[in-house]
Amino acid sequence: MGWLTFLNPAFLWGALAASIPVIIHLINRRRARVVPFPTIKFVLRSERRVARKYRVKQWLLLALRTLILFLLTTALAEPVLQPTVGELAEVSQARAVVLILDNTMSMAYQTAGMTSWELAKEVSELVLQEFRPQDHGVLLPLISADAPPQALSGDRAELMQQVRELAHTFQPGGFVLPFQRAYALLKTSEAPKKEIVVITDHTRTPWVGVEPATLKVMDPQVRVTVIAVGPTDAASNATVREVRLDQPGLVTGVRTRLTAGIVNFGASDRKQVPVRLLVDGKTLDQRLLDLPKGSTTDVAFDVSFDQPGYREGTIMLASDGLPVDDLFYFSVPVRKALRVLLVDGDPRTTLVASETFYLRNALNPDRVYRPGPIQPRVVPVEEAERLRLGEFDVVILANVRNLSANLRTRLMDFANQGGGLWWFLGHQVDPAVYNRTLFDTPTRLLPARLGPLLDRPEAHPVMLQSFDASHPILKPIGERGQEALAGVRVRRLFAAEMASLPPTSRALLALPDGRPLLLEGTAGQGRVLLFTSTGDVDWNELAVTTGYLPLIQTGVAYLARREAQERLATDTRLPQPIILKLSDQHREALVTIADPQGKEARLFPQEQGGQIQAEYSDPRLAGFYRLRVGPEVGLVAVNTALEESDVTVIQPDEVREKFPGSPFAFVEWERGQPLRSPQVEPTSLAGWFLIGLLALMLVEGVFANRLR
Amino acid sequence: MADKPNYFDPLTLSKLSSLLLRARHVVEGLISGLHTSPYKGFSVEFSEHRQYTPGDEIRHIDWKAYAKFDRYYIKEYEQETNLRCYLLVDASASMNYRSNGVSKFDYACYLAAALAYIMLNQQDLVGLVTFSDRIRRQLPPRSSPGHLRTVIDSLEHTGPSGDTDLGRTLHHIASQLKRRGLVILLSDLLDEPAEVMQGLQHLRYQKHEVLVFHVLDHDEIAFPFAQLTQFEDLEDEARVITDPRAIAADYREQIQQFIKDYETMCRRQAIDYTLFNTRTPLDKGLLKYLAWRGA
Repeated sequence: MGWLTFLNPAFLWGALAASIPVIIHLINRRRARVVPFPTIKFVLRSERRVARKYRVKQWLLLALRTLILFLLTTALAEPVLQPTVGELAEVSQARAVVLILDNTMSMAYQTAGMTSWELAKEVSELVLQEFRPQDHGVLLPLISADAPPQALSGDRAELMQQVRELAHTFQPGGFVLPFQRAYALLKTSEAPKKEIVVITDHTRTPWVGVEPATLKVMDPQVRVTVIAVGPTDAASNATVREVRLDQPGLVTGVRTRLTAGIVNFGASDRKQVPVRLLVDGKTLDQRLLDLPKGSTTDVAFDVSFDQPGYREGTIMLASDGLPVDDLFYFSVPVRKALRVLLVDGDPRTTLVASETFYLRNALNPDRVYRPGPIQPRVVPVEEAERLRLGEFDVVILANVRNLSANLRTRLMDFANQGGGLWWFLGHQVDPAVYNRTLFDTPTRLLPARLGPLLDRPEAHPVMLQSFDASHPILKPIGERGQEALAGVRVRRLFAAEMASLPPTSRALLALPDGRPLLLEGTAGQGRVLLFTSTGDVDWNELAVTTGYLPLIQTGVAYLARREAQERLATDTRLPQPIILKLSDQHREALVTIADPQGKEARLFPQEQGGQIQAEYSDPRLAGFYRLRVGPEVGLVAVNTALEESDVTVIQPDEVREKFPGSPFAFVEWERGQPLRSPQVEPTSLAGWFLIGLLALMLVEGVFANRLR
Repeated sequence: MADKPNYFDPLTLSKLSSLLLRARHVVEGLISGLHTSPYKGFSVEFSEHRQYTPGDEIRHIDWKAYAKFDRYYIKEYEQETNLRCYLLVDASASMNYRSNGVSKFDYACYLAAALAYIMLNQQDLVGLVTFSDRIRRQLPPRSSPGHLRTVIDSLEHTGPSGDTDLGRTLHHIASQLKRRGLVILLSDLLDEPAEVMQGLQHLRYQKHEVLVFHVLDHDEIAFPFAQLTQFEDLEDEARVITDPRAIAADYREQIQQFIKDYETMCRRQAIDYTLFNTRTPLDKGLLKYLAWRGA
């Protein structure tokens, strides 16, 4: 026990007021009224019987009133119980304090117009105000671009300044590393008292992984004080977990379904929450959604994109306690549809019997339901002569008997302008005519001279033997597609004269005897493919194998110079880096990235594991990042970390269990509340005096009432 | 004696008078009937006729009625008797207490004068005795119209003083009153109740009808004192300083018991007992008594 002192001893003069009841009593006694009274014998009798007991009660009442006045005046003098000498010695010892400040995304949670981060900074300053000259401290933010501090500082003003300058981030973060650093820093300190003060919100996320086993360097002598700000249990937050597209390769004008999975991390169900879909900043659609607590709810939008290129998609939720994650960004690469002209040399009244039946289905298998990314148009040869070929990206000619000079000229012009040609042969093809009109010309429209027709017996078809798996046409097919192609049986084909094969031509698919089934070459500025058999099932089984569709589609894309190309970078979440996957041709290219605020940075491609890539390792903001790789542009969306959106509360006892054996305190701080100092300080007794005063007043009231 | 109240306050007397007039009109002989005397008086007053029956005295036959109706009717009379009333007024020092300007003695005098007026108006004989521990003044019963003035003068010239010895005084008075009559005692009865009752019993033994008008001040009954007070006796040196709030409940209990004891003892002795609070207006107190008496 310490000793009693007063903060305002001047008020003790007021204790003289305690004598007032006694003085009043004495004055009243002296001024007793004299009354001549006839029935005094009854007064005397009553006096003998009851007055003595009454007088004792009156003295007690007098004592009570005296004590009330004494307590009132002493309470005004603010009595404090000073700590003992031992306690004072302990208090005067120097302290080493590591202040771990949570500046992760969840601290943006708003309550009564203030974010948890603003509260955290306020309480940080209160903590630092307790610093005395002999104390040392250091500030460890969870997220910081600066190098971690290496020593404790005795400069309180500097620490205050660091707190004021520290910014809130959209990054996720945990306490494991800060605690390890804190214990390491305190180990270097010789201060007799060591403490780690953590200022955070009530969320569970940053405490994940904080265990004695993971911290390793935990020192039970170090006091741990957790000061929690913000909402305790009524937090409300929903965010978008993911956005899915029904089909990955989007083309203009093609409607597709976009599904957003929305998760409610709040403590209660939410009804009729508006969910908006925005593309390029314009609202396309809106839904009202019920969000049960703790679960994910899907909402679907049907959407089509009018413009090719990267589109900026946003899912916007109604604002809640944590507004920073109410926007979910996603980038959508949209291409123009590929237009392919199918010139059918053998059209039939029955579609399935037509030469281009399988080709057309392979190019647009969903044509019944919706237009696909490849839009084929089938015409007979006569009609082809009237069409403007420039409107198409690729022209496929299937089993065309003869081409007029006009059509040949226009095909040459088409090829010279970079258009792609794909030849499929058949029974109407005359190799001599083809060679004369299409190969032996200044602009070769065939990659090889055609040889004689090779007929194989029905019982012994030729199996496809070899292929160039690294070619852009075959590579996307994958191993399973290539296996499917390997089983194709070919009964009839035209032999290509390999001896006359131009240097720009090469065989992509070949039979066991080396005769090519698919040849690639160039025609003018364009590319040309030659399939030496039919495009339907007349001469081979390719059209009914699983490899047919990808082969035709990748072939068309290749001819249109639109071969499947990977995105420069995929959408990501903080704090994951943005990784640009590049090709060899980009090795020396100028690669830049601009963050959502337009701040541009240059990236330097490097080879890692055989892949050329450039990494932007420090995205700090959620939003759209614009990429530029040479002339090529791209877009990637970055969103906040999902775990930071989880506002599930951790209980103080759970935190306490993470620091077994250590002195521990968990303070739930509210604005305006004085910070309970962990130091030993004089104990104010004014409150107790006032409570005693109230109790005595109550007793006095009852007592006086009974005496009346 | 300029501060003496006027016993013949016109308002009070007019009210009493009006009551008497009303009483005479509504209930004939009420006042007389109230004072039933053991003696025959001078006058008879006609009451009613009734038919003659054998055995009735012939001298009571109303011959005028016979002449008129040809039937025998007997005239019946009510006798009025003259009451001999002794008013005993306590003039001890304790009767001098007043809390509202009218002392108990004043109040007793008001009552005595009013009663004398009523009785003398009925030709009753009224005597007066004022006493403390001894007989201070004594007027023999008279019914002459000027006797009222004598009674009033005697009251006016008597002031409350001296100790109380009510029991002994009543014995003394009882031995002096030779003829039976109505004895009205107006006192605060602040003496030993047993001795007082023995004195009253002596009067009853002498065949007197006794009425006790117990006059107490409002403060003596209600004990309304609130601050520290030194109480001093009016008749001796006894005094005490006390907080009245402490003893008020016990005091009230005692005084009520004191009153109740007198009520009980008087009832046993067939003595009419009435308590008068000095704050009760005089006329109301008297009317209350008369009404009770009439009942």
